[in-house]
Amino acid sequence: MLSLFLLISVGCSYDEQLPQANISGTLIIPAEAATRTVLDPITGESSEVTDSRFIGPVYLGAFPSVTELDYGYAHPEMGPVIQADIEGNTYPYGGGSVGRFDFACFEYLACRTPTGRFTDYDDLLSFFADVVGDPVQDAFGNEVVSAGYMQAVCYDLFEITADYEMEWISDVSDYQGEKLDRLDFVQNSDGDFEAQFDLWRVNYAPDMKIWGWMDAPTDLDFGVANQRYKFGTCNEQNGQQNNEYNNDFVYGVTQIDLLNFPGRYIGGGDWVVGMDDVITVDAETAEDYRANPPEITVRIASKVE
Amino acid sequence: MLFLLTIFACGHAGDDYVPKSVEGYEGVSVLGELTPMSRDNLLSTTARQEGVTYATLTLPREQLFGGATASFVADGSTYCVVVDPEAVTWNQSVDFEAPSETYIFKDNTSDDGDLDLSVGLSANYTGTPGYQMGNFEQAYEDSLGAQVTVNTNECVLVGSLGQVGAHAGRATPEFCEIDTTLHPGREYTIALDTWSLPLDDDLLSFGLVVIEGSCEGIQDQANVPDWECVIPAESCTPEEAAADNCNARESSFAAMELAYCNQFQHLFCDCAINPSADNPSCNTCEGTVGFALVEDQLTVSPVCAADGYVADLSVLNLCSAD
Repeated sequence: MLSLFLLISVGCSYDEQLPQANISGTLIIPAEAATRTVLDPITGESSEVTDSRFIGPVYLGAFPSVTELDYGYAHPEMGPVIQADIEGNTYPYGGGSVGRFDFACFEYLACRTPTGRFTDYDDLLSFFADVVGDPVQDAFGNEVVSAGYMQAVCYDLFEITADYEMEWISDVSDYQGEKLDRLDFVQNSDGDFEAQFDLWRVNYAPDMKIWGWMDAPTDLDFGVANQRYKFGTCNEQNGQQNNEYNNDFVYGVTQIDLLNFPGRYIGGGDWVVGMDDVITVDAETAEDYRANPPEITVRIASKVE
Repeated sequence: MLFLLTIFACGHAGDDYVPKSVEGYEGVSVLGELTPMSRDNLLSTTARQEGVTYATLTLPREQLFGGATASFVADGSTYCVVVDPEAVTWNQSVDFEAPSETYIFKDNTSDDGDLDLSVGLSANYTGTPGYQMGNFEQAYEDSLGAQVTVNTNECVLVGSLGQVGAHAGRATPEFCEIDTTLHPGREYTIALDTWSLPLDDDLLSFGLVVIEGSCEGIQDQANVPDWECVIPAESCTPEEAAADNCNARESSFAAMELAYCNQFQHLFCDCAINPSADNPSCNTCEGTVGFALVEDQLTVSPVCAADGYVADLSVLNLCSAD
C-alpha cells in the first residue's frame, strides 16, 4: 500500500522537461489609447471620453527580436521574403490575446464586439447609441433599445438559455450562481488600464522578446453608420454562417495570421509595444522559466501614426 | 452454412479499389521546360490547346509518391500556372421527380483524378525530377538560432473559407499566380503531386499550362464560363482521340466538357438521356451542336449525319464536316 502511494506521488511529480512555458503578466494600456472625441448628437458639443470599451483586442506574442527598420514602428523580426509584395513571416514562438471577437446576436454587431469589454446588454446598447453614435439595429433595420428584446434574439439565435453562454457578456454568473468577472481591464491609480494576460505553451527560446499591439477601433467621426467602431483584425467575410430563413450573413472572425504578419493589420491609430518597452525573457531554459517565472509588465504605449 | 458464407464473403479482394501501375506510363515523370503561353493564345481553343502540355501518369512502381515536374524560366513578370486533371467536376442530378436537366448526365465517379499544384524556385525544390517527388521546404534560422522550416512554395491556393494552403478536389483545376519580380532569369519548378488516380483505368490524364500575366481575366479572354474550360479535353486529348485511344466514357466526358464549356449542356444532357431521332436536341446542327449518345457511344445526330458531319473529337468539334 505504501509503495503504491509512493509510486503515485512520484508519478505526479514527473517533469516532462517540455521546451515550452506559459508566460503570464500584466498588460498596461495608457488612458490616451482609450480616449476618443465624442459628439453629443443633441447639443452638438464634442468632448473627450476615456472608456475601456475603446480598447480593442490586444495581440501579444514572443518573437526572436524586434526592430523598427521595416516599418515606422516597432515590429517583430521577419523571416525571408519569398514573394514580392508579401512581407516575411515573423515565425513567432507563441502568443495570445486579451479579448477576441464574439458575435453579439445582430449582423449590425459583426466584428464590433470584442470579449471582455461589455458588462451586459444595456452596457453594449448604450455604448453604441450614446457614445459611438451609431445605435444597434436589428434584422429589420429597427433600433434595438430593449435589453430584453436583445436577450430574446440572442437566446433564439444561439438556442441557449443563459447569459453566461455568451462570452461577450462579462458581468454574469455561471450555472451555479457564481460570479464570472470577465471584464479584461481595470483602471489603475495612474488612470491607465491594466489587464492580466496569458500566453499558453510558448516554445521557449532564451532572450526572446515579448511584443504586441492593440487594434484600435475606427474613429467615431467616420460619418458612415455601421462603419464606426470597426476593427482591422476582424475578417468580415468569414466566420460562422447564418442563413436561417431570410438571414444570410457571417459572424466575422479574427484573422488567422495576426502574429505571423502583423504588418498587414497594423495601421494609423493602433498602439504597439515601443522599442523601449519590449520585454526580454532571459531565463536559460523553459525549465528555468517555469521554476522561477519573472514578473512581466508589458506596456503598449506607442501610437502608430 | 456459416463456413460457406465466410468463403463467399472472402471472394472479393477489393482490388478494384486499389490503383495499379500501367505498363508504358510513368508514375513520376518530367515534362521538361515549358514555354509560357502568350495571352493571345487564349482567344482560340485550338491555339490554347497548342500551348497546353498534355500528359498521363500512373501509379509509381517503386512505392513512391507519384507526380510530375516541369519548369519555366521567369523573366521577372507574373505568370499564371494552371493544371486540370481529368475529367470534369460533376454532380449528377439524382432527383427523380424534378431533376436538374443540365446535370442529368450520369457521372462516372471512377474517372476523376486529383493533382496538387505547387510552384517555387527550382533551387528550393527538394525532389529529384523523374525519380522522386519533393517539396519546397527549406530550413531557416532566426536571430536567436532557432530552426524554422519555411515553405517556399509560391503557389498560394486559397480555400473556400479564405485559408491559404488549400487544394482543389478531384477533377477540379488548380491555378495560382507566380510573381517573379524578385528572381528574374531564374528557373521555377512546377510540382504536380498525384493525390488520387482514376480507378477506371489507373491512368491520370491532365493538362498543364503556364500563361503570361495574371490569373485575372483569363476566363474572360478565353471566353469560357469556368476554369474547367481553360484547358479543354484533358481526359481525351486530340492526339489520343485521333489514335483511337479514348474509351467511350472518356469520349463522352470530353464531349460533355465541350458541351458545358460552350453553354449547350442542356442539349447534351437531353440528347444523352433521350437519344432518339425524334428528340429535337439530338437533331440540331448549328455550330458545334449536334450529337447523340447511344449506349455510351458518342455518335453524331441524324440531322448532322445527313449534312455530312461526323462526331470528331480529334478537332473538338462534334459536328465537323467530313
